[in-house]
Amino acid sequence: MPVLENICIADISGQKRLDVRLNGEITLKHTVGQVVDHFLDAKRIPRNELRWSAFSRGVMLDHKQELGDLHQTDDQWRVIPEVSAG
Amino acid sequence: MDAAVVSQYGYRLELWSAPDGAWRRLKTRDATPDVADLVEEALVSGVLSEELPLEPDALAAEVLPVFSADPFVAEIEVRLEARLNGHARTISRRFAEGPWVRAALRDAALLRQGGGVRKDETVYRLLAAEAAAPEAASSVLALDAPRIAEHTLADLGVRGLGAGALDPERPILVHRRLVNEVLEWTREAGKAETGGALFGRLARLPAPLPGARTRVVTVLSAALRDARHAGAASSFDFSPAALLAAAEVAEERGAGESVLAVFHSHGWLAECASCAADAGKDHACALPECEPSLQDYVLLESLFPGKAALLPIAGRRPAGASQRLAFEVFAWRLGALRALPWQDYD
Repeated sequence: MPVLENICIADISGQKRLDVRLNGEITLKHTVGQVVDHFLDAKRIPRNELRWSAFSRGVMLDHKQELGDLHQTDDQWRVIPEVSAG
Repeated sequence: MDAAVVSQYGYRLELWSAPDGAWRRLKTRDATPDVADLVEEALVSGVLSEELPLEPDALAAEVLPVFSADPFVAEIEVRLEARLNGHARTISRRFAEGPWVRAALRDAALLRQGGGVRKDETVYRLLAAEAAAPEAASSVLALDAPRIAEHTLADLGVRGLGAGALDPERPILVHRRLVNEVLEWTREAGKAETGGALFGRLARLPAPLPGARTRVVTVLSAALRDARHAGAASSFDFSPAALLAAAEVAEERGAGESVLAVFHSHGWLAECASCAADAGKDHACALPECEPSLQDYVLLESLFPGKAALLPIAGRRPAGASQRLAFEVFAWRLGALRALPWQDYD
């Protein structure tokens, strides 16, 4: 099965973007959850004790899934928290 | 883009109280990481105002404390120098506020809840600076400039400008139908909060709009509600699935829009229109004013972490102000969210 080579991760507006190549600090052995953490760290986005999820092709990705198990077309992610206004 | 940052000081937030006349330190927090937030806001404000180029060849930042009395800090100054084609452009921004202020407010609230201080006790905050170790004084910071596309007003669907005003450095246009819909939904929701996604674009026009000094304009073009979002009194839960669906709708519209912001209301009742102006300061209203809460800061920093983000809120104005349902647009300005003027269009 063809595997992912890179992922473009963005916030909902697309203003914050991170291109991740899967042959360096992040590899196919990393999980979705670890890559979400990598995005938040790289962009200095405070976690604020929220639940963060990655979405690809309209579907929420399983945090525990390894990148090697994702389809080649899962290369555009949106990272969105469950958050409330006050 | 990477910025070479020189910051020769570390920063420390301290909370103090003096319940019986004797000062007592309640909490200390490292505020040095907050500097990155200020540098990024300075860069974004410089790009939006066109004082700085969007894609410089090199970017350097110097961060300095402005002491009220050493080591106490009144402001943190960020100086940026952007080089493009051999020419340097510089800006300076002075921040009296930043993430440490929200951290102090949250910590003080937790101390009151946990009994660390009395409910009526005043908690004072101070920011102190101390010289950093030489190896910590220089660093490279990865920053995100706003993504701005070249457009004309016609491209943006702007047929005519209407009421309102523009901030010269951050002009904001809002579609009249969007404003009317948000105000109507706010009235319908009553005490409960309502909200949804806002489509929009950051665009650079051929020339500044009347009243603006920059060609970069933020356009909010349409609002979209979704039943998967959930509103209640004093809170509004945004559904990630609904926001994702809104992003797909924005793409399908084919106008280059994105979910650039979300709106929410702070409640509005029919009697609000005749109430607070006469009641004055003694009037206690259960509805929050049309100002960002600490939770709203969390919302914006999490959902729209870029410093070009906007936070529109519908609701009542502060007590004593003329009472009509307001639609306020808040944006980052010197470390805090502040209401900016906006102009409607059709």
